[in-house]
Amino acid sequence: MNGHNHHQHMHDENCSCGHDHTQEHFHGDNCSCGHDHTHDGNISGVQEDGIGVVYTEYHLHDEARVISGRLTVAGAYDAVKKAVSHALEQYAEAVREAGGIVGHIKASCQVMTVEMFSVTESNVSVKTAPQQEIRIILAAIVFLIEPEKAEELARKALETVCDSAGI
Amino acid sequence: MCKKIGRVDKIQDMKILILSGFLGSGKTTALMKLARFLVAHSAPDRENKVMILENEVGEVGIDDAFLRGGGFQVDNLFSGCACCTVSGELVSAADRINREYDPEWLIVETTGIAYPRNMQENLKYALKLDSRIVILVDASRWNRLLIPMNNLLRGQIEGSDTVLINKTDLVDIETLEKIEKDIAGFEPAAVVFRISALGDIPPEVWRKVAGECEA
Repeated sequence: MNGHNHHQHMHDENCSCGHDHTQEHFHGDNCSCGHDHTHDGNISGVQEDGIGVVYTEYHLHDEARVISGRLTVAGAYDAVKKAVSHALEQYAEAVREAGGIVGHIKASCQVMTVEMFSVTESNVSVKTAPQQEIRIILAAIVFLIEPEKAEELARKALETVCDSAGI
Repeated sequence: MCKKIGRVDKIQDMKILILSGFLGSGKTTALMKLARFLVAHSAPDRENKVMILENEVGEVGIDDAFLRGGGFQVDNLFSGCACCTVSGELVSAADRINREYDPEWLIVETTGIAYPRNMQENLKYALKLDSRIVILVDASRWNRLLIPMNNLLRGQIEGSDTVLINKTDLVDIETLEKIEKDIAGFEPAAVVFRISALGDIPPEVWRKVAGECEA
């Protein structure tokens, strides 16, 4: 139901979506600039972020502290996968140590591998980019802990993933 | 993939199952099995058999992507709880799905902090649609959560039709008997089953969840 986040930007604006915007438009417009502004690769409505930049936020829902976080890293997925698992366990332990209750702490990883295909004569050559781009989404619901503390712990968890990925 | 129908001469409205339970109780795992059961036991002439409406309280969804990866048709409600802050969106989404897709079943997976009876009442009041409530309970954490989360656990179970005590393989018989007693204290009319959502779940459980002969 919620689509992705359509934001407006101008010529030469330093926009995080990574495209060269030669005219004013909305993402999704059928504009003539030649780029794909549909952002189908985004997860559930989140704008593209810079590599290694940690975003976190929280809101309250009755007694629940709802924490959302995201991070994009470039590296080998196996190492990042281990780092994410470890970070989530550390996060849960830290919440408990602070006297809180973990409702759940979840993360999803969207892994993008780029392969380039090219042909000049008859045979196609395929090259795989050495690194994968991995988008990590964190969602936590915790109780009986200050929300700022819960958010801070989430940020630390994502930063440890960043460190593990060597960023 | 579900197809839009756009029918106006509907013979029967979709049936709604509200799948709820506290965080980490195994809702999504059970949902995938329930959806497969309903697809296998739906009317063969129904174009769209099962649709899933996924509600997540966070700014972004995680479970919806996972469910789509399982081949299910999933719609989302993010950034709020469908029992309260996005209750209007729940009604709009259910109405749209009913009119445009006309599925035999709509499964609404709630957030882990929802009170499903509020959703049931909103769907009935606004759309005149009946629904059944099934609650997942995490046996392994029940005793730990019962006191600090009492209002929420009680509020989720009150008014439910079926309660599935999940992760039964992680606790002993005495614990299970206590959980059943606690549940009966919250909702005496609920039919209670012991399951392990990671293992096989007998078809009679799903038939009861769906309302016995309706599936």
